[in-house]
Amino acid sequence: MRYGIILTLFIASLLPAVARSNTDRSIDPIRIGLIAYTKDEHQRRVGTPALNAAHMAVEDVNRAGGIRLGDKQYPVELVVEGIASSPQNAIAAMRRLTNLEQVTAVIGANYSVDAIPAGHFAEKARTPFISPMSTNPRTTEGRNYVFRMSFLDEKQGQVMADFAFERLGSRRAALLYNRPDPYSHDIAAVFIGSYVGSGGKVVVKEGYVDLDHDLEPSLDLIEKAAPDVIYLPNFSNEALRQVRAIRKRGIDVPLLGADGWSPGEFSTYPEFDNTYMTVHWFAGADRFSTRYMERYGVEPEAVSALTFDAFNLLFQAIGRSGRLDRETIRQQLIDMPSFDGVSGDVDFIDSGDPDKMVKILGILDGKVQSLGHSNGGGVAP
Amino acid sequence: MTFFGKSFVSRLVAGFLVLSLLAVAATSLVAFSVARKILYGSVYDRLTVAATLKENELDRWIEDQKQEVVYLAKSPAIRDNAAILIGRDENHPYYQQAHIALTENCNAFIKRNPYFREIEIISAEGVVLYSTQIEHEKSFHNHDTFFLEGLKNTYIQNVYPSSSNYEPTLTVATPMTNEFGIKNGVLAVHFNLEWMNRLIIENIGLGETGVTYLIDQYGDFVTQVYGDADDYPGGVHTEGIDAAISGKNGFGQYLNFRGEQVLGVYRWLEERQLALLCEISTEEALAPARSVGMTIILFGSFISVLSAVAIYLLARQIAKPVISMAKTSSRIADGDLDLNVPVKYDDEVGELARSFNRMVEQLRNMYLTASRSEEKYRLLVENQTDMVVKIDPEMRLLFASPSFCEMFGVEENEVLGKKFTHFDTVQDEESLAVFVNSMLSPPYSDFHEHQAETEFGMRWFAWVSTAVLDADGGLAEIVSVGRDVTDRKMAEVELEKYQKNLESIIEERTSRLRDTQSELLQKERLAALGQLAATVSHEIRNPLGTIRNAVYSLDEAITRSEYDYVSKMTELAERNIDRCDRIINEMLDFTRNRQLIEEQIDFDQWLEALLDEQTIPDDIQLQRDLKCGSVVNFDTELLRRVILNILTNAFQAFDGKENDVNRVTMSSRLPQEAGELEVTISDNGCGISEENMAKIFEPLFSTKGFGVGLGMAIVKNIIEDHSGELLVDSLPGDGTSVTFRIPVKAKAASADE
Repeated sequence: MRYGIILTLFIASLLPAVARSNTDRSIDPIRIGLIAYTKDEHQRRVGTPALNAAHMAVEDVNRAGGIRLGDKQYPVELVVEGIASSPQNAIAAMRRLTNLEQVTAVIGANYSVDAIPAGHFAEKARTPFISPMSTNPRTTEGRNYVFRMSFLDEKQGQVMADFAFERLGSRRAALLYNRPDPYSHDIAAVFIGSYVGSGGKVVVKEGYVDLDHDLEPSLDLIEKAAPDVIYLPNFSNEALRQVRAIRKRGIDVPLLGADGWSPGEFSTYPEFDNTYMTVHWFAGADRFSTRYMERYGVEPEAVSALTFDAFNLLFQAIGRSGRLDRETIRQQLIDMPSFDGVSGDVDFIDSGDPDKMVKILGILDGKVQSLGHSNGGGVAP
Repeated sequence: MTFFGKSFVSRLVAGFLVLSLLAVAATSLVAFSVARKILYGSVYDRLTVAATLKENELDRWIEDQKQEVVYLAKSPAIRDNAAILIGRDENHPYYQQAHIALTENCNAFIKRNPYFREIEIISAEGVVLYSTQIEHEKSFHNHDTFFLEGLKNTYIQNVYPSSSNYEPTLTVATPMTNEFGIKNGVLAVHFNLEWMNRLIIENIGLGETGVTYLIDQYGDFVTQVYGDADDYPGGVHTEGIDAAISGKNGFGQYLNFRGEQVLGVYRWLEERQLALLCEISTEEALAPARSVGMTIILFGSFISVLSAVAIYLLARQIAKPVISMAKTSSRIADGDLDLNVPVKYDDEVGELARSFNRMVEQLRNMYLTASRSEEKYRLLVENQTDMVVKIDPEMRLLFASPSFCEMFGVEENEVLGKKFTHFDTVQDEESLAVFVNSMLSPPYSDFHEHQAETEFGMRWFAWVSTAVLDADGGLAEIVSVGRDVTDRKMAEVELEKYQKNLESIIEERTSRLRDTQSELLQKERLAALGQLAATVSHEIRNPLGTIRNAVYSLDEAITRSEYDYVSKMTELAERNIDRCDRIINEMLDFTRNRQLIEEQIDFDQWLEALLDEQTIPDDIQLQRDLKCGSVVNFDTELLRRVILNILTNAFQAFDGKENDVNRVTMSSRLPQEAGELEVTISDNGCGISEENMAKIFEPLFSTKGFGVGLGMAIVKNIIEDHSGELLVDSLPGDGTSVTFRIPVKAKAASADE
């Protein structure tokens, strides 16, 4: 009897060792970093929609058994770096992911102000980085490891200029933009160039620096200039404040925005009637939108679709690489055939910039309406 | 004997060398590890001192720079001009003036203080209003920590990637205040890390391989990069660096960024958010310990060799009396028992010599005892009557007992060297070979007897010989003991003679008996013949009577001219004459001494032809089953008679039997293994009663109203003349089967013959 107890204890003492050796043999997951805005005012409109889509993509691939490399299936682990948007924060998040977490690839940092410096460190750490929504050319410029899922600012600025001139028949445009922000600043520059080139006139160009600045002096100038349209290529939180202030003054000309706007949300505000914006994608009755709605109870944002596409594109590239080598994965992202994503086809041809269509939405009578799409050079209905 | 000396001495020396070298190795190992332990302590101290020194220097340097920046911001030339830039519009008349003044002052300052890389004056909105690097003017720091913090208080932004070129930068920012004491701008100075780098990497007494360096919180070099920056895409990761980044301070031995073993002190500078590492290569750090170890090994080995020489000399001194004793004992072993070993020393060697001498003394006594017992043994041998000889493998006598010499009338000394065979002890070559062979193989003994001419006439001897084998199992010599066995031998000869006599008597008696037997046989045959004659007379009398009657009736008929009756009577007479004739023929056959006339026949073919010639009664079916397939030698006339006789009997076996089919089967076989022709004739007739069965071979026995009854007797005779056998098997009412078997002389006939 006593021996029985001793034997039982002995066997029991072996069990943890057995269990440990089992986990030792289990396969290390493929770790993918995500830089998401979870700590600032962008959380609701950009951070959470991106994070949700990332979780969806990772769960999808893991439910399918993970990614096959050689003769093994590797699950995917998401490593989330939640930040408040700022270059320093983005740099820190990127370096933490590449140097300390040593992830295989990074997705996120959707604002160009963050994606540009983060891209530098992704390049330095030779880690593939996909910014789903950064539209500024400097994000990928001269970099081999940095990719995006979106069109460039040049295209959306130009498309909006054409739309304002041709479709809306405007000839006098006013601009209000965030001067230190490369996104806002550069789109404004493109719009001006294109609009003036078409024969339009930019009557007011107001750049601001401080987000909490007093809008009134700028609006005074704009009101005085009596423009046909006002272009506000700013992020949603800024645009919301600006549009409300403009409408409050009784200025009812068409207001124009860029992909930083949130059309779904804005359509619920009466001030946004008669506004137009360039977007990557808009939620509809497609499968992705339906699944997202079912899961999270809200409609996905454009950034959701782009993030979802970025993850699936990356998974495909890793699978095609056959091994967890960052350089091979980078090369696969370039080499692989066109990727058929939720937000459209993505194909990197010797750069990290895909050739993607710009879609134009209008909010008319409280409803979001698709007004056509363009790949630059004219807007198709 | 010198070998013993050599090996003894060399063993001693080798043993000593091994032991002493082992001791030396162990000592040096212990010394090495002790020295290493001490060195670890001292290296740790040195590295810790270096780290502390560097940490303090860094702190002091940064603190100094901070004071410099504060001083700069407060200097009127800067403060007043900056206030204009901050407070006025770009187009204000003083603006350009202030800008120029700032440029002059700042440039002068930078010249004086080479640590300053860039001085910036930033508006409260984060816009760069002035910079010593003019291209940075109008750029934004609105997101930068140093700006946001610098608006409030003097702030040091520890090493971070600069927003303009992402290079590591250290920035001190301090608020600018207007004339009302309101903080409305920031003066920021970006520092030249080259100076900080120099400060840190300067080697301070850490030997050739000692390095100190700074690593930021993500593992990238802050100070000068060792190797190519591309070598560390994900930062530098060593045990020391990873531990420091995770906030630990410590000391350890690990692989550095080049993969070399180092001893290192690592520190996490919380205030600076930097890791400070001081490392020295293990090889260099532990070089003194190794040198101590090596010195001990070299010196120890030298001492060991010296001692080995001394040991050699000493060992030779000790070995000398032992060697002398060994020589003496070797001579004693050769038989010189009168020798003694000289006893020169009174030590253990002397004691050994004395013991040795005692041993020799005992040996001598034992030898004397042995000699005496040998004499006794000799006496025994010489006085016994059995002959004893010792022979070498060439059969030469080595020893002959007196009894042998006496027997053969020779002297012992003239016998020695002579061949043992010389005395007829082994009589011929064949016996000699047997003898030698039995001496060479187990059980190495031999017994043989022989006759030889001796002093006392022809005598018989029996010799028992035993081989004496040498150490290798070869034949060394033979010891033979012989004994005079003449008396026994004579008795044996007598016995043999008597035996031969007995045999001739038996032969004589036997032949007499045989004669009597044949006489008896003859008588028996005569008796049988008498019976036969009586039977024949009786048999013949009947037909003769019939003939007589017929002749009488014939005479009557001729007289009465009844001619048709005549022919009937003549027929009757003729038939009875035939019968007589047959009876006589059979008689002759039975009694005639037949000479076999054999000829070669294919039996089946012959039998087939024979059967074809026969007239088979209509009511009988004859089945042929002839499978002999052989050519045989037979007297065909006799065989024909045998078969016809049996066949006739078979044909006549159906009287009084109601059969569906009366069947007679004739079969022939020649089973190869038996070598006998086997012929069977069977019928399904009446069979033979048990009572008749016993008589069927008796001459003149017949159940039929005709014939003499000699058939089966003749058959039996013929078969027996062919050395065959005849079997009759019958079941009354079921039928009879007659089989005869005859040994065949001829070979089997094959198909192609």
